[in-house]
Amino acid sequence: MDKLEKLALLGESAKYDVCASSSATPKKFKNADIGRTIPSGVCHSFTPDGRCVSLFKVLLSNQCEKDCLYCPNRAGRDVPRSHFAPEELAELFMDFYRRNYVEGLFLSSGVRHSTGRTMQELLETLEILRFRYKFGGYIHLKILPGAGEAETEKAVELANRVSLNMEAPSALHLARLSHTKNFATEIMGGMSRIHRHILHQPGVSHSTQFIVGAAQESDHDILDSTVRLYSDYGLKRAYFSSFQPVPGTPLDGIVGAPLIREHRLYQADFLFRYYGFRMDELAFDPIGNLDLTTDPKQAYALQHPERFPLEINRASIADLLRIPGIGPRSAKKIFMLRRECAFRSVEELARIGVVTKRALPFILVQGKKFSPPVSLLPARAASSYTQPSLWGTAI
Amino acid sequence: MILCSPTPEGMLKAALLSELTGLLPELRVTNEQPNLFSLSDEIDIDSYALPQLINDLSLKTGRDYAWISQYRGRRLALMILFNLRNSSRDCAPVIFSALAEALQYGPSYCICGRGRASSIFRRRSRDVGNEIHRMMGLIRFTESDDGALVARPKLFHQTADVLLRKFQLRYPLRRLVFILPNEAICCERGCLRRIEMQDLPTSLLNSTDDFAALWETYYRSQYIPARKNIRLASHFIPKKYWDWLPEGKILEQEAKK
Repeated sequence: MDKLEKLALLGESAKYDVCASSSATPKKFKNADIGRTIPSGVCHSFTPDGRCVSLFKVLLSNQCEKDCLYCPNRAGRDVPRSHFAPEELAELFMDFYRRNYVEGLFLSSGVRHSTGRTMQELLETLEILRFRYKFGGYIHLKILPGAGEAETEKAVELANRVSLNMEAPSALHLARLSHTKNFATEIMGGMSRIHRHILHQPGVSHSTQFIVGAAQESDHDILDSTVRLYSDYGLKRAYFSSFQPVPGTPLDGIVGAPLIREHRLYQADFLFRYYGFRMDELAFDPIGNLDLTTDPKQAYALQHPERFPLEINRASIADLLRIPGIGPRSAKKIFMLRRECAFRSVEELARIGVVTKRALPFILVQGKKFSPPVSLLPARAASSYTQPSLWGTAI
Repeated sequence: MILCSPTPEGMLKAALLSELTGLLPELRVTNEQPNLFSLSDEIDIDSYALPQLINDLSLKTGRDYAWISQYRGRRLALMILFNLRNSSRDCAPVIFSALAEALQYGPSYCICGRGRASSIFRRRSRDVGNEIHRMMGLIRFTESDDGALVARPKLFHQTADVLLRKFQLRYPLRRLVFILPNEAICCERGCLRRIEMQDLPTSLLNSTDDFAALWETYYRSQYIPARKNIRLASHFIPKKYWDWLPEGKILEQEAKK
């Protein structure tokens, strides 16, 4: 197989990993010959599905011993298999980087022969980049489930970000997706190892990814697990990938989760990370899913009419952040600006970035209301989505 | 009339003097300095000192203008610089109107774009900032025979030098060359140099490589057709760039499907 064919095959095999961020602190690898990291990520292109191409996202090998039911690279699936040698991949990546096609490397792999051996090859690729090419740019390395202590330590030393995919929020859910992955030892044990080593490496972060809608998990299950990872394991970011059935896999027949579900999970995740929301403040339906027709913040505001409307010139930052249409930046601007001069009109709010269409029912500007009370707003229609089942009975 | 040079400090000083005297500020269009025999009542702001102007205006209005030399003043200066680099023709009136709002209502009023003029001022500054950020990703280099990295950026504002300096941090040991429609700009070890088109070596002018095929293969491999969202893609890569980027034709094909 030539380089072009390998690239097409191993690039395609990696495309379901949704992480595309390339932001990192510029502390690591200062005296590099080429490459640097910057705090704000740079996107080098966007595919027709609107996803950012920032990193050279590729697998070292698509040969895999694991039998994950959703995975296009699962053992036993009849697809062409190939792998890069570490030198070959490092050289190819540098060709891309030198020409500014990508901002960094996202390296993952199927488990070829054994976890230890594959991890060694991944680390060898990183060593070639860091020490032979003196590359100082961004590298995101996937830690394989079951990777050992020494391998994790080395990975944290060489990469700017490491990640270990949770895939499912609990052992019960993971068992529905894979018979060869052990949730307690391989996933949570791995998370714990990463967290331990990251504490000694400033500038390195770790992330994870969940598959949404393949294991009958609810949004509550996923978000609850995410919140615990943020608080107990120092997780920087969780990614959610809406399940899309891959032909030739055991889950081929079931319906994929709607993309809007993934979107709502990201919105809820942002509420935890940037808006100071707590898990118990989000509105879930009886089976634990978010409303697909309303964004979680709007749903919160509609459920708490007693808290609104809020006077824009007096509300605290925490309260401002609970108003739909006002994000962390707008809240900060309102707080700063009203000290110099009180807000007098809605137009002024619109000019500084407040989405007034959403915010108006929940605010007062100098005591004046510009929209009907929250209690009179029309109720949204209930979500029609039900989670597809693997066993023929929908929840 | 107050004449000032097109620099953030010059424009800030002109705005301060305008508040003091009521005279209109304007950008100096030529490098010609006013002399003893000029018959106009033009004031050259370059001969005024900023701290003195701040002090005089504070005494006149009773307000505190210490922010001009602090963080928010520096932020405002950066926004003025970006406005000056914006391709809009009426940059000076917008900058002076926004500065008048800043002096009257405070710097945050202008920086956050709360007033009418400030809102345009902020938007234009962001347009330039966005172009810089976007181009850091979209500009692609080819390697010339002598090892220089050559690119032909599609720029709508005057951002070439800023971009070259940023790229130099990424490729510290390489010579970088931007070939623009009328000239070329070269950056080597942090030093910028303009090159006339007729003086540009043919090795740089004809620099191409066959990497586009590899990129196209990789780009296609990352696309998930089930998630197709051309509207989102064209929001991030506006159509004005599609004929310039190698992947533009793929986006166009997908948009037509």
